[in-house]
Amino acid sequence: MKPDNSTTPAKRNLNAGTLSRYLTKPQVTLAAIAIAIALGLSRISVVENLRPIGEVYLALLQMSVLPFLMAAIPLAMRSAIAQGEAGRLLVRVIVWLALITAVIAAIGIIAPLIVFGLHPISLATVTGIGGLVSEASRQVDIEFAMDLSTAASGAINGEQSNGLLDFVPSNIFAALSSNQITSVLVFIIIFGIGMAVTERRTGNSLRAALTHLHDVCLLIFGWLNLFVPFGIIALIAPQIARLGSGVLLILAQFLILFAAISIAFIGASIVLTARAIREPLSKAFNALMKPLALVAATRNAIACTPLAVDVMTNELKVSRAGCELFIPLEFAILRIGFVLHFAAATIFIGTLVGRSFTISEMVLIGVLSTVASFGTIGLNGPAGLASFAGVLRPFALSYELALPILLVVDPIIGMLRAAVTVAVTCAVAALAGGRQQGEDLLDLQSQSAE
Amino acid sequence: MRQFLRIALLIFYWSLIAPSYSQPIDVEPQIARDLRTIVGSGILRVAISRFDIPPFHRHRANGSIVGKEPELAYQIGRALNVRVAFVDEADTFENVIRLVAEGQADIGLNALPQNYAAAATIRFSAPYMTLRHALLYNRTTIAQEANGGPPQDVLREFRGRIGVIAGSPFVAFADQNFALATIVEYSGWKKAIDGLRNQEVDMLYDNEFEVRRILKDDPAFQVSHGAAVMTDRLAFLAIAICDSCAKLQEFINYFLAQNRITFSIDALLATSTTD
Repeated sequence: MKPDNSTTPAKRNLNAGTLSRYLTKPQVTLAAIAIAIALGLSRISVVENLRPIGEVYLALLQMSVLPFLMAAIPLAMRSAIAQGEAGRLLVRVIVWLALITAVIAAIGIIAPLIVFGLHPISLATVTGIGGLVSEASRQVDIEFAMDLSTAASGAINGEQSNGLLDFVPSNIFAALSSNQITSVLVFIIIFGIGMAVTERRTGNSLRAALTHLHDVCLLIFGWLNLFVPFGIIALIAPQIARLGSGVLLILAQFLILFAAISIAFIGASIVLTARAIREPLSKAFNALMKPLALVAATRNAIACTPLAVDVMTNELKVSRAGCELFIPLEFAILRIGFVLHFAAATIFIGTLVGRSFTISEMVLIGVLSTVASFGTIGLNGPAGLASFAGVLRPFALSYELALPILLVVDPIIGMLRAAVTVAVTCAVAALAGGRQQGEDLLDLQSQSAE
Repeated sequence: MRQFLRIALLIFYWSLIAPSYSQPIDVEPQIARDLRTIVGSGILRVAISRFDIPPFHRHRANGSIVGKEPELAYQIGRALNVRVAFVDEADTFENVIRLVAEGQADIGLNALPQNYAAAATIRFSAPYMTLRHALLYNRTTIAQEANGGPPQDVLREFRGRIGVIAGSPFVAFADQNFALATIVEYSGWKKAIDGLRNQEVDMLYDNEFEVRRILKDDPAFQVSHGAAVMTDRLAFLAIAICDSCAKLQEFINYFLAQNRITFSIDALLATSTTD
């Protein structure tokens, strides 16, 4: 009887760990993105059936984000306070953020000016864009009541913002149940400080419990990571299919430009991360491709927080405090991708209607884009575009014209925008926090011992 | 003797006058035109403008008139069992009303919005289409005026130059709704759009259908110009009916309700305007 050769050694070794490593390889991720785009462009009927699968996957990713943040941030706060590094780290993060934001806003303004100066928008493109706007808005930009009393009663009936008060959770359980990330973050930070202080005073600590919760969330994300390539296909393909090739052709000039700038920033962020932690570029690239691919698929930086933190701290060995504290905060509060998007889109809309900008106006665009990015706090996807009106209107540019254009291309721009946010935020965390030092490693060892 | 002559003369005059009271009048009294006379004459005269309002109506090269409103006129004609004759002499909306008011037409079908001024001389049917008032505005001008604020704040209290089609009810609507603006009247849509393009006016004022039609026909125009609709200002398009035609008005209202005749903007915009 012949021996059974059907089970080769390679196949026998194909356990969950190797499967995970294989599925999260950059080549597999890039192949999944390529397949998703090809499927989307093919517009075959099965593509639309992928949408619910993608939505389920996104929901699964999101379900553990809040528990993860509730564990990771207090631990990071505690670690930073214990090391006496919190203040210095905060200053370094602010300096790097300010510097990188300024560079991003500047490139977001200058690059479109150069490109549209060299290749002006053609009349055919203007007509095509007009058609898109016409179709998207059904030819009507604004609906308003002439009678102010009618308009006022409508406003009273609508929900009104309370400004900063919206970010303070008077009821943390209500904030948790309604997924108000920013409010939850405010509570968690205060809770983390309180935890560190009481630990010193009483010696009692929640650290072991929080570390366990942290590890459980990461384990769940590890399982979900096995499905990243399928998630990418299920989330991206229906978006591309809905867009259609016609839209892509009409707005190709803007899309290619924005994609090029975004990829340049993502590349630069990977290089900066590698240099900050003194690791080979290939290692930083392989590690960061995981959260980048996931964020491109989900277009939701918050949903990728656990993966980004995991990759930065466990694979790239970046300072835990820098990552666990500032990555979630920056994903939630300072969306660098929106700064780039608003700056570039302002120049595009200006060029479209034949407006030129002085240098002081360009500086103002940069400042307003940064300020408007704060207006996206707590909002994901197209909802974040509302604050763009504040960038356009001071330059007499029509938000009502811009919105349908941006909405039409948001499935693609949203991927790049979120990827820029993730890449730049990771780079800032690495630049500010550096490599894991003794305290971090001791922390890890003590956690392992516990 | 004198008394006798007086009586004789009285009898003579009586004899001259008396028959006219005793015999029936053989001349028909002047009966106002209404359903019975229209049916009796076998013709329903429909006033329509000389200029086209596609897809409501337009003149073909052979002189025939086609469109949604002529179709409606023929349907009413069939219900009345009369022939339809179009009276297309009017060069303005006002003149369509005048033809009906002066009895040269029984009804007028010309995308006519109900309005107080016309209601003094004619009747209106129930509306067959309800449209919101709309503005087609120069985006840059309005954004500059808004000074960083939302454009509707400027539109609501507009103080610039606003274009309307001469002889249309929107001349009066502009007076009512934009008291602070300078009203500029144009004889037709082509001249009005040229006026907007050349910045003679900052915006045009008409109904939602006309504004959307312009933008649908010229998509590039939507990049430089935007459309705003007023949610609380409505134009009720109705059939103008001669002032004496109470029964005809009743008949037409019943006909519209029975056949559920309403025009929708989307259906009209989708209607091809070519042969």
